[in-house]
Amino acid sequence: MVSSPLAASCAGSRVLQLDNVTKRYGGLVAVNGVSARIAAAQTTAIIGPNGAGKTTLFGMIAGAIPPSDGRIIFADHDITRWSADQVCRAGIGRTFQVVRPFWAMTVHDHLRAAAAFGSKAASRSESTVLSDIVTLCGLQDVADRVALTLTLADCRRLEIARALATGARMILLDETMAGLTPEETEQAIQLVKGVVAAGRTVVLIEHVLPAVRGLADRVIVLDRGAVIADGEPIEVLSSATVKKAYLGE
Amino acid sequence: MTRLIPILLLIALAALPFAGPAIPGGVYITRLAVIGLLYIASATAWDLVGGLTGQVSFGHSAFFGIGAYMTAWLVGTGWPMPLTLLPGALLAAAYGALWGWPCLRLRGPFFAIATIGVGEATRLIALLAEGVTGGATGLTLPIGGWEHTAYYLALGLVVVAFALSWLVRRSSLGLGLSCIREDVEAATSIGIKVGWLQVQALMVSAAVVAAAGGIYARYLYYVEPGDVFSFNRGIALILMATIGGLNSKWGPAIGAVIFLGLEQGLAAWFPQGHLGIYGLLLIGVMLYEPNGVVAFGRKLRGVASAAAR
Repeated sequence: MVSSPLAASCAGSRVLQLDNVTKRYGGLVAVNGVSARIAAAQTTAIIGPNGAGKTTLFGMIAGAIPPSDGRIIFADHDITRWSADQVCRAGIGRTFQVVRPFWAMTVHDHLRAAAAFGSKAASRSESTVLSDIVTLCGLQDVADRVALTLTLADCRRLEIARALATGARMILLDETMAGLTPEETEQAIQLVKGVVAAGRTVVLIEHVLPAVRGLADRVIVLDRGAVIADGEPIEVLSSATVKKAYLGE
Repeated sequence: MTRLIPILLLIALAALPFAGPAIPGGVYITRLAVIGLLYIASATAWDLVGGLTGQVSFGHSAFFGIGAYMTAWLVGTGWPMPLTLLPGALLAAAYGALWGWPCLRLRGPFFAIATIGVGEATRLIALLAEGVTGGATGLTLPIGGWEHTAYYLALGLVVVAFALSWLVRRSSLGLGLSCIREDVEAATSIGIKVGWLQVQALMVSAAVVAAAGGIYARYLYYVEPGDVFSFNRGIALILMATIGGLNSKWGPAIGAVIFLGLEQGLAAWFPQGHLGIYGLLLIGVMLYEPNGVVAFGRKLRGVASAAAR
């Protein structure tokens, strides 16, 4: 895949561009030359076996992990070396693989903080916008409760709500469905659909393949740090290379 | 009703210097109250960093000492004493920013250890810089006539400390500091400038503690590095806030009063023993009520109202 920064700035629909993004920890290459372009208002799923480098890639996009090599371009800005808070203010929100709410704070305070410190567009967001997010994420009944008292599914929705409240145009969801009951998974799928319908771009890491089929417009498969497949969900999920990576020979 | 209590308390405290001579032991109580008020203001300000932000600082003695010395110097050059508190507060805030910027990247015990270093290094520098600080001999201020003013300045500082604490807590700064306390990485993920917000909290906190140091210097007529920069001052603030209740409106103030009571009650009989009592009290609080006396009081009230029903 030939990628140039000019192409990204010309094509308005491409929000995020990864150029040869690499992360090395000493001799271990966690992410190896990943290049991809992610289109606006779409859902892109990143899948792959454990240890494939999915979360590390997310960390680099979000500014939490500095890449060893390559470039990350978001909405015409080279954000490769930006810190996590700068990346957030530029319009990328995220959730965490292991939930990280602000345990002693209420759901409502999570969203107030996210709106106060998130991207510039969001700082103008009014309380009606926050209550829309609360409704979208199904948190109405727990809005005044502290995170410590919430169920795992509630915490996952809270993290999505918090990311949305920053005013992010792009949301990175790291295994939002892991550990949920089938019923909760279905709710989570509907929630992500709602987020996309609201005009945000979603990139998700997911092991729950039915959810990937139901949600993704596009699937990128990572294995041992490198992209081994990229395309429509149906063709990617049925490809022999992908099956081999997941299930072995 | 409960809303009236702080106002009534304030009126009573404002009247104390006048009523002092009329009640038995009143003069002694008034003198003690100055120290108590300075403790209350300092502990409340410390809690912005130690409680709200969750960064336990042993280094606040540095701010106290800077404020004390600033007042001593400026009074020596003829400044009106109340005006000396402002430059002291500003210098302490700047000093806080100077070491806070690198140190506040650390969390938990690592930050705490760094602040021990800062506090002790500041004390030693002050002790060695004899030309500026008078070294171990210290500096003497012109004596006489400042007891009443010091008292009212201390009372005013308590009001300022509470007002600042209230303002910070209800602002987005306070909200951001709470996020930092709960989870730094999650806080950065929502766009919070973790370093800058913490530095702001430390600067506000430093300014109040420095003003307390300035009033203390004027009240005592004497400053000396071994006293105003002492490690024990830093620890005392931690004890007050923790015993009273971290990150609460009244906790640090209540803790300061308990601390003063113990200090006065026990130090006379057990010159060293009272430190042991603090230790036991701290262990008790951490084991049985990590949220301090305030939380314990709230529980008692809950039990009482349940019994009344």
